[in-house]
Amino acid sequence: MKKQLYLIGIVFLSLFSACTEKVDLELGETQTRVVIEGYLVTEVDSSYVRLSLTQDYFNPVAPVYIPDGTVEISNDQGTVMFNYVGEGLYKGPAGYIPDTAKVYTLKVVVDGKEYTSTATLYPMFEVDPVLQFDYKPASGFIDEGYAVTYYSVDRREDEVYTRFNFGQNDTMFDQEILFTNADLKKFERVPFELPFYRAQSGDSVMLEFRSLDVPIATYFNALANLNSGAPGPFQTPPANPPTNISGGAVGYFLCADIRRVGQLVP
Amino acid sequence: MKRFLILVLLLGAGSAKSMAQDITLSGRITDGATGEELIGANMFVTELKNGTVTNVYGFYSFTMPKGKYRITYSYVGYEDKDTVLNVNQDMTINIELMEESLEFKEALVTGEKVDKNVSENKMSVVSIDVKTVKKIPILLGEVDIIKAIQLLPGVQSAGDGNTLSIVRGGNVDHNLVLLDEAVVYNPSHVVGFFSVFNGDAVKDFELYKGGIPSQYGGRLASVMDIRMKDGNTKKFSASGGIGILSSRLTLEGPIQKEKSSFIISGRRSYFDLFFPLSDMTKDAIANFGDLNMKVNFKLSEKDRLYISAYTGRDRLGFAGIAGFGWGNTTTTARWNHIFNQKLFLNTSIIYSRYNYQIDFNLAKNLNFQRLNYIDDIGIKQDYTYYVNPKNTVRFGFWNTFHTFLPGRIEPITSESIITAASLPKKRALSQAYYVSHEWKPIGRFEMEYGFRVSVFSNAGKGREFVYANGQKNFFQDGSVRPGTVIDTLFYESGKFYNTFANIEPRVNMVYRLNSKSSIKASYNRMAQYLHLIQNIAASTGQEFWTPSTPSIKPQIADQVAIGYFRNFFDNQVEGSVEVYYKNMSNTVELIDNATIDFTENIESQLVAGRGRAYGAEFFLRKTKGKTTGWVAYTLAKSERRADNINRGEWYNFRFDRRHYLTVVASHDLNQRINVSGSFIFATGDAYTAPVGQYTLNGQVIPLYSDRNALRIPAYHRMDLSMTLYRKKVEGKTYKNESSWVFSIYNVYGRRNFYTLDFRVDENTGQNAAYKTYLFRVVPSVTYNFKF
Repeated sequence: MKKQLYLIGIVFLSLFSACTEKVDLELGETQTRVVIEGYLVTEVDSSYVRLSLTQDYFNPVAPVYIPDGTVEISNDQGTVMFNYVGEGLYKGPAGYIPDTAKVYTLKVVVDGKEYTSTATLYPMFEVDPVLQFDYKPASGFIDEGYAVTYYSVDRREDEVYTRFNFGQNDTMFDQEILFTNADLKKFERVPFELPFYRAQSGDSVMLEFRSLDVPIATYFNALANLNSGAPGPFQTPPANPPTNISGGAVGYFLCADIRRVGQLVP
Repeated sequence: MKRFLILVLLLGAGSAKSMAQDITLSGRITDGATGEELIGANMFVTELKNGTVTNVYGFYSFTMPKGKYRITYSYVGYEDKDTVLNVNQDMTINIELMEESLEFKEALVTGEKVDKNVSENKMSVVSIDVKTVKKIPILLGEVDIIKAIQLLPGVQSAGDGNTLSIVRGGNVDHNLVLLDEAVVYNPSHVVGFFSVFNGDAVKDFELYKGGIPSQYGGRLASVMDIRMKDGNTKKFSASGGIGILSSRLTLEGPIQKEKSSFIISGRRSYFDLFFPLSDMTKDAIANFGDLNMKVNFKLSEKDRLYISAYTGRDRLGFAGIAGFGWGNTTTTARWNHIFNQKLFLNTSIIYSRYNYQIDFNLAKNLNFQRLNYIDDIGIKQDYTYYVNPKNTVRFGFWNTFHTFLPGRIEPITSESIITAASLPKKRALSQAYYVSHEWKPIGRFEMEYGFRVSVFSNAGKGREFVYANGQKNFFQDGSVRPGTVIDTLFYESGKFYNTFANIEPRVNMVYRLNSKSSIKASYNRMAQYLHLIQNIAASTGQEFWTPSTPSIKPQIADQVAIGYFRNFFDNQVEGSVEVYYKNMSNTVELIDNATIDFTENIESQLVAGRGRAYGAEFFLRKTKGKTTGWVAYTLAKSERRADNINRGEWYNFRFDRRHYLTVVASHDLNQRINVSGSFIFATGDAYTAPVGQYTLNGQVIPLYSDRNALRIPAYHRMDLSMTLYRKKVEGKTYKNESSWVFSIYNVYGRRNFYTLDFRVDENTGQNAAYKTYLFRVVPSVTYNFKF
């Protein structure tokens, strides 16, 4: 009886185990568009703007960068020119750090056509420099190990998003979490346990926080919700993420205050 | 309305004068073995070459001159009953019909049997008797009326193995699904693989995809009217089925013999039983269950009371970390009252609820539960006045109060950093009043015309948002974006603050060219005030319903259809060709990158669109003999158009399918063995795909085409089944019945697209397209029993 039950189980599992295979599809051609990646962050010399062109989906060639554009970034204090340094990158003067709590405007000109964008650089919430480690046994698919908790206080009145990433031993996991402060407790010191993660003794845990304004968070939200494929029963109608750049380019202009916390697990 | 009622009274008065010597014969036609009332059974008066059919409560009424008549009562699958009556006063004749014996079933049915396909004033109606449904091979052997209906022209599945239906180019929420008059908001179990309707508890169903009678409304595309069995009034019986993944059991019997009865029917899946066998699924939860219950009481010859209820629940989850569940609950209390031989009334009080919840328990301080629901409580009255054989008038109303909870978030533990939050409830009153006149002026021509007045009012306590420049969303930098809320309007409890009203005309007509062929035509206008907000096609329970508001206008559809109906070979083969055109306005379309999750001002994520769907449906069905079945082919087109989507140009509806072909065949090899098969071919669905790419911060991002600009390859599949009945000796009666059903879904293992993904091929480093397919060859076996 047990054997029969097992066989039925195998049949059942095979029924519901979906299979995947590569297929050839004809997608047609599309017009090339300008790509702008504006990245303005509060770490020295880390800010840049990269200009390039879109490519064919199945048969991309070597990246096509735009070396002869003009790029300027301004706020209520003045304008800073970003100059071409190669591989599509435009950078500001040495030692450049943008200020927090400012509204920035990006202006890019390519082949006489102007592209503009505006974004707000909000300060990050405050994070305690010391992490908490609690040992926990294995549960479900989570291994045993140390649960990692950080404490933070958010004093910002506006709705600001946080793009959170963490890693261990010099490797970031790139499983970025985007969350808003709109639903979280404000002006209170609150703990946050890293989900599905257990560190081991001797690991070095690193946390990374970036503040984002609502339009750029909307862009990343759309990107995250964008399933790479269609159609399918679990997929949103795919569409290009809503850029905050006007003029017909794709990409974004991102302004972020960056905060990092790191600690060795005892 | 007033004029119409005067006309009705004049018709009645006229008939009373001209037919002063007429008498009315009325009664109910029931199943002789179970006492179940038969819907659509025929009563035919030979001398008059005229007759009538029973309504959904098995009631009939026919007025004729005094005299002696031969009257035949008949119903598909039942033996005819002939009586000779000397009719000289109003009479009540209740008739019991017995199911055909096996020998009789094989014979050709001849005589006065009404040829419904040609003669009835009904078009664009889809129905299959439940016995036929049980023979059709279906995924995993589960008897499923919705999947059987999807084999008929004009009704298509929303995906491989999916019970959600696309009817004549409409959305999945354009279908009104009624179970004993209660709205079932989500007719799916297990992300659409099973329908919520237990085949053992269903007595009868019809799906109107056009020519929708005026007593129905509230959805643009179709009405599926499902009636539960009443329960056996004569003897106790049990039936059921044991399948690989689920089983079902039905108990029914008299409470007081011939006067009252009950039925209780339940199903439960047991997928979970096999999950521990694999590491991959050992922590998974996936199950569904449902229960149908009904009692009915014959209070007097003129009064009957029915109380029916349904509840069902789905639960999917993983290791207590994440899970979601959804379910429908309905209750209907109905009272039939026969005022006199000519006037029939049904009054119903109806409750319906659809709710779902999601649980996330990611960590001890990061957990929450989210709840949504829609609640309906309503009252409905339907009057049928059988004026005379040429005139029948139907009128009534249906008023429902809706309560919507768009979303509530609650922390599961007190340590959770998630704070409780709730989107405010929405409330609305929908009212509908209808009247229709079935008119048979001459022998060859019949028509039924009428209208429905629908009124929908938003009720307080509630609030509505005011947007900058009056734009709930706007176009900027290549994308549609939500508008900016500049003010909020609050409405106090009990106040109706916004009202929509629509007049919905309905017309059906038939002209019989001869005894074998007819031409039919219909027109209907439908208004829809409730909209399903859904960012995926599958039914996961994450979708929610929202009412029309000042910012979400009611959807309206106008449909015209004309058809030629022809029977062949002494009515053994029915044929029809129908062409239709449907125009839709204010269709609800999601903007690009819509965020519908826990969004109070959901209107900012929607744009009002237009839709058009047109096509031709060809249908040929053999209904008699050892071999039965049909061929159905639909040639169709369905498109949408909305400001700021694809530059305001017409684009393909996601389920636009130019060609849709189904072939179904069933053959009785002998009295014990039946073999059946079905084949489906459908043009591939429209989809949106990446046509370019670019890189940001090292991440490759796809550049998408216009919405639904491309098309996946065609879908096709063949299924086979064999039913093995218990051996019977001729002339002997059996208390127990049983059968084994063996079926194979997707016999030749076609790898039909379920999803399509675009990602980097790890071997080549280049982008590639990958399809996921679910079901290849799926065998199943089910044991059915009845005693």
